[in-house]
Amino acid sequence: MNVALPALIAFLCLLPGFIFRSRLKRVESTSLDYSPFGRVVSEGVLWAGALHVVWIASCPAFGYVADLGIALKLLSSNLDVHGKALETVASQIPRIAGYFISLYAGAYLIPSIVRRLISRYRLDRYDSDWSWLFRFNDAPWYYLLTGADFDEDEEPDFIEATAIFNVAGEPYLFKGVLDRFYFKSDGTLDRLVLENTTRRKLNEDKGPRRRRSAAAEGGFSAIEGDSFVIQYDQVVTLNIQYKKIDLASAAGPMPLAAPTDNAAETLT
Amino acid sequence: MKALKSPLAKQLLSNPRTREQLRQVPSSTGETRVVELRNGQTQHYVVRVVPKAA
Repeated sequence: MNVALPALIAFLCLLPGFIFRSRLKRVESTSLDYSPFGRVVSEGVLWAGALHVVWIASCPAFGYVADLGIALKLLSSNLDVHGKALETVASQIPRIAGYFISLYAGAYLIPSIVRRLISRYRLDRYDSDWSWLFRFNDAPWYYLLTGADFDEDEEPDFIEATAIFNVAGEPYLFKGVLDRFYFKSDGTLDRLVLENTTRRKLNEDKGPRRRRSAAAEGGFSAIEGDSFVIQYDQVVTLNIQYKKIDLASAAGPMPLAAPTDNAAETLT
Repeated sequence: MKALKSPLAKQLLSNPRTREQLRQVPSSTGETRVVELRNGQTQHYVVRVVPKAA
C-alpha cells in the first residue's frame, strides 16, 4: 500500500491548529461552519504554528531537543534522505508519540479553558478593551439571550420574551420568562422555552379590556404548565426585555395581586 | 443553552405566589412589585426593565 507520507505528516502537524480553533470559537452552528474557507485555513495554520512553537520551546524542560531537520527531511521527495529520516523517527517513536499526544490534548483543553476565562472575566463584552480579540462575533444570540454583554454588577435577573404567533389565523401575544434556547445545526434559532407564560389575542389592543382578575390585567391569561416551547420559525415578531429585581421598602405600593397569606394581610 | 436567570429570579419563579405576581402587567412607572413570604418573613421586591447593555 502506498501512503503519501509527506501529506500525512503535514496533516498531523496542522491538525492541532484546527482542533484549537474549533474549541476556541463560540458559534451557534453545531454541524456547519460557514466561515470563509480562507479564514478557517489561515486561523488553523496560525494556531498550529503557535502550538508547535510552544511545544518545541518546552521540549528542553523535559530533557529533549526537537530536531526540526528530521521533520523537513520527512517532507523531502529524495528517497535516500527520506529513508534516513524515517529510521531516525522509528528509533524515537515513544518521544514523538508523546509530543503529538500531548499536543492534541493541549489543542483540545487549552482553548476550552481560555474560552471559559474569557466568559468568566467578560473580556468579550462589547465595551471591553479586549473585545476586538476575544468577542465571539459568530454568536449574536448568545450575547442577546445570556446577558453576556452586561457588566457583572448591572446584570439583569431574567429576560422576558414576548412573541407574536398566529394561532388558527389569529395573532396571539405570548409572554414569559425565557428559560432556555436552542439552535438548529445551521446556527439559526430553533426554539425558545418560556416559563410563567401568559397569552392574549393581539387584536384585544383595539377592543375593551376584559378584567377577569388582577392577573388578567391587560388581557393576559396564564398558561398552566412549567415550560412553554416556542418554535422560532412560527414567531412573527419577538420582543426581549431585560428585567432587574431589586429589594424594595415595605412602604411601597401594594402589588396588583396581593398574596393571601397572613404576611400579605399585614400590608393592607 | 440556558438563558440569563439569576438565583433570585429562580427563587421567585419557584414560588407559586411570587410567580403569579411576576405575571402582573407593570405599573405606569414600569415596575412590578412582588412580595415574598419566606421563613415567616416578608420580603418586598421591585421588578423593573433595564436597558440593553450594547
